[in-house]
Amino acid sequence: MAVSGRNIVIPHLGRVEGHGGIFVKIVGNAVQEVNMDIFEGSRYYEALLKGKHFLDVQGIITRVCAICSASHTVAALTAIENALGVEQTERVHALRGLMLLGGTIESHALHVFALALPDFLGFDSVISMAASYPQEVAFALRLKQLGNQVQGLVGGRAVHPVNTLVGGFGRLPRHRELEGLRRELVAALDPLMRFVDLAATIPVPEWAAQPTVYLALRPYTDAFRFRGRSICTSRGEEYPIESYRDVVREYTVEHSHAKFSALASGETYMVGSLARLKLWGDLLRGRAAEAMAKLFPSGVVDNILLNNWAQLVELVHAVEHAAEVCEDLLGLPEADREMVAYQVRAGRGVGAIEVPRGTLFHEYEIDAEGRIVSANVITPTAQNLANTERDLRTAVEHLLAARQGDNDATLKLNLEMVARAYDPCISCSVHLTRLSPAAD
Amino acid sequence: MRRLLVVGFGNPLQGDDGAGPAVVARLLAGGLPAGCRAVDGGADALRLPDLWRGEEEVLLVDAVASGAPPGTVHRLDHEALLGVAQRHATAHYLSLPESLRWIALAYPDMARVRYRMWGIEAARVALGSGLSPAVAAAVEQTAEEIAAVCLSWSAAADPSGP
Repeated sequence: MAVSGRNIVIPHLGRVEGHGGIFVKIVGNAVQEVNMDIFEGSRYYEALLKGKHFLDVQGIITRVCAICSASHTVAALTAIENALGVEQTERVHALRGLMLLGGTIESHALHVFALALPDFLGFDSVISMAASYPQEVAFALRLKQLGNQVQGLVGGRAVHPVNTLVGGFGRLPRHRELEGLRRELVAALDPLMRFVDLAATIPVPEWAAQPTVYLALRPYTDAFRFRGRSICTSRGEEYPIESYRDVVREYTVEHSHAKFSALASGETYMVGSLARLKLWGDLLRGRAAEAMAKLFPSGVVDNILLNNWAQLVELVHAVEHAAEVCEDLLGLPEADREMVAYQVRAGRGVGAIEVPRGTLFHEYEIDAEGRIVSANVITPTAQNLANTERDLRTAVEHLLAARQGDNDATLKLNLEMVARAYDPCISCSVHLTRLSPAAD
Repeated sequence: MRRLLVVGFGNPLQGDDGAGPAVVARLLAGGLPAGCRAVDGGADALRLPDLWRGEEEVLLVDAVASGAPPGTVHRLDHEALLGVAQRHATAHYLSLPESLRWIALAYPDMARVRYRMWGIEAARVALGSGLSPAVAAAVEQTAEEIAAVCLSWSAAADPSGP
């Protein structure tokens, strides 16, 4: 018998806690309302940056989020350098790429292994999973730490990098450090591929699947990369990154603190690992191409739950490519620092980077004295919100139609899985231990 | 010589969530005896293996939420801390107890570490710096207690001592 007149409320998203929440209103067997609300901290920073010198931007903007700190740093530096007309040297470009790969390793390892895999394997946490997969669970944490190590070596510390500067790097890694890192990265590939084999055996539910438009940057070279100069959609459109405001149309909705995004056509879209594989997966090489073939044997299909496996493919790519970048850097002469001379001038610049959760846009306008006149940051999570609501609605409708949605607890868990598959970054910078009253 | 590590977790940009780093700052300002080290652990407890240098005992400070009056200082021994059921702290971070459980599985060397925790009940956790008065007072109290623990530890651990 159909369940009538009920509200499903998920005040915080389980493993994605913060000020976010999901509200679903069901009447009879029809979904009347699906709302997702998040708190978006980056908007505060836009106001905070006005009037500050451009050299202060990266130290401030990186505080939007610790796990996204490498991403925001590179996006901000790229935008500012574009405003000032600064060209990156080969080494600076490679090192920033390496830092982004470190951030991707850290972020994807934590999300895939600690947050997603337990769901799909039927465990309530990564610790419970250790009973059946002890070696895998131990390796997963060491891989996350390897991502921190990459960021620490390049950026000077694992979060909120300090070596990175407008025009270059204040300190460069020594060759022996890069060689040590390269060896550790190469050693991580075999155990990582065992996760790919494990994931390939896990059936992924299809109740959230539906046709989706994807957006990602075209890589700057003919290979799978996290940086590019133009914005592409899976419908074949392509735009220069400077016109991102015409492509990503932001709008406000009553139920959310964050702005939503859609394309000019009004369609919602998805950014992130699944989008990148959909558009550029055929550019993957080596072990990452093997992982892609195992997890997406028929290519990328429209099912947001597969974003977890897309992250796993990217994790293989990030480890493999980071080792290659170390090798490239070892081919350059050792140096203490690298800086390009530049003149301060008035200008406007956009930086767009593919970060773990999707395409990140930063834009700054700078006056002739080097002060920030305006700042604009559009995060992947904000861009994915409208699509998330759409997928949540589809999931509820499919589950109700298949008579799997009568139980509130099951429905909530399934909706949380949809939201978590986007790996949203939601007010993620609080660290509280929650004690039961009896604990003191 | 046996060694001891103090780590404060939290984000000073989120009000009282910065209690842990504030305690560490107080300890560093006051100076620590030989064999004792204090570090700001940031918001990700899973980074503990990067901060650890073989210390036998690790004292942890974190903001907590239990419903007790703001500024209440909760003291948890090793077993009580690892027994806290909370799994996830935020979108990307596991809780402190869950992080410690995972670390013990992934880093066999650290399985022998004994933890103690000081948890400071938060009043205001929201974007903005500065501690609320009750939490600021609890930070002072906790820093004094931990400084005393460090002193007695150092005296007991120093083989040249009495």
